[in-house]
Amino acid sequence: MNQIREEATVCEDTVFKTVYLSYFALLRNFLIFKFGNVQRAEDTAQNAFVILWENCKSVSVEKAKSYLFTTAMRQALNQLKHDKVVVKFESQFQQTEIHLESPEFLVLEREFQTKLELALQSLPEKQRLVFLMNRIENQSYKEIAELLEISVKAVEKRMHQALLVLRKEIGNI
Amino acid sequence: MIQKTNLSEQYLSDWMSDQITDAQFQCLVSTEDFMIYQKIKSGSSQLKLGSPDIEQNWLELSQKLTQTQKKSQPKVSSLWKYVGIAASMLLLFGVYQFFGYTQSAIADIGSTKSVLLPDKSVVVLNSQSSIAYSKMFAMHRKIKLDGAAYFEVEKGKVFTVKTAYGEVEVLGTKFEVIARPDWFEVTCFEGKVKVKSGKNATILTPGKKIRIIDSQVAYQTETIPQPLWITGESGFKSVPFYVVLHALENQFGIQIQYPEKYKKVIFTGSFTHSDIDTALESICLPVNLQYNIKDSKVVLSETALNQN
Repeated sequence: MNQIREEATVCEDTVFKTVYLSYFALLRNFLIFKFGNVQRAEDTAQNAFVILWENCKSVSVEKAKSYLFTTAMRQALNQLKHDKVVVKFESQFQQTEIHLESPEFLVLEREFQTKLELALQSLPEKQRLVFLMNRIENQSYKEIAELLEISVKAVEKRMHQALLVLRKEIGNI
Repeated sequence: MIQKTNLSEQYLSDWMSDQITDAQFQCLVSTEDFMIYQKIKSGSSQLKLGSPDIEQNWLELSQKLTQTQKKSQPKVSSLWKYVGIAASMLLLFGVYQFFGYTQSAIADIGSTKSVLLPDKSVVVLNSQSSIAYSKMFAMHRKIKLDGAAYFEVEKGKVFTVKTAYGEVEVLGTKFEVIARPDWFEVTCFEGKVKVKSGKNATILTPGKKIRIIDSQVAYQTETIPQPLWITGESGFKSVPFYVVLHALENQFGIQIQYPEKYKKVIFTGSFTHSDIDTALESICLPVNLQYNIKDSKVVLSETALNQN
């Protein structure tokens, strides 16, 4: 069995693949939260890995995760300058299945979930990213801070504001 | 008038990450707000994104890599060959334990065991029963059960109990599951419970019980608030005798021999867990049997009254 040496860079086949298996899904989901579009998210995520490979000599295994996210963000920024298109955030959510068949129960839950998804679409991007990475991808505030390269306090502030917005939106629907 | 304390300016994010409790949070917001925030909290944890096609994306990525002018590129081959190596490497990333049923609990003969699950649900195992669940339990609330257990489930994502004889799904409720080779039974004490067995599914409301013995499905009503064995007794209502004897065997770790013709006699009654003699008496008396204990073997025989 191969061990990853301390100084191992991402240039080794198996290391690169492992990094891919570890982080692709998370990065792709993060980008879905950002763009609201699966195809674009997967494209951008793949491109981030391509750039990682191109610069593999200068990226250590521990830094790979944050490198990928920073690269993806930068990619998105560049693309935006080209496109100048306002991206409408499409709802991509599945719900974990609720099997109980009681009609009243299902209807109430569905109603609320719909309100919630609508409200999520109205969140500004900064808040939306923090909220969804925390609630859906179970990333801690610390992990999110590292990915976005902001402080934990900033993450908490965005989460707090996200909730205020959601509360207001849901109250209005 | 609601006072915003100086706890933190981010009390909402603190509460979302459970740094402050519900009780503390309730002091900071109105009742109406609390209810809605609660729903946001639980509703958002039920959302999921579909998973990406890992293999497909890898192929597309590999194609992009061959387009770049690098001399050495990762070999463009199927991912799955490497999953074996990747899996052992993932050990270093701590990801491999995600969905394996690596946590377990067992109750020995004659004792019960209470387990607190990562989502704060409680399971009480009856004698000779075991459960297994994943370390990532809070994400997918699935638990394997062999034997009998009583559950008090915290509200949240769907909670599934998998047994060899059927599956039970709930959202947040109190119920009991018995999963023994000759006896599959689910009782709902609070909330709603969905039971799946084979191609059939049924919903139980509080006080309702479904029992499948010998492929026979029966519904009953239960009036007690929790199983008797939690407080050291086993109760049976219109149950075939052999099922009662198996339960006795499980409880005391004994083997019971009895006249064949008593196998399907319908029995209603209970026995205590604390003393084997008292237990055997309460089983034998109603059906006119007597018992004889030798080591851990018990022989039941008809009393003189019956031998005509």
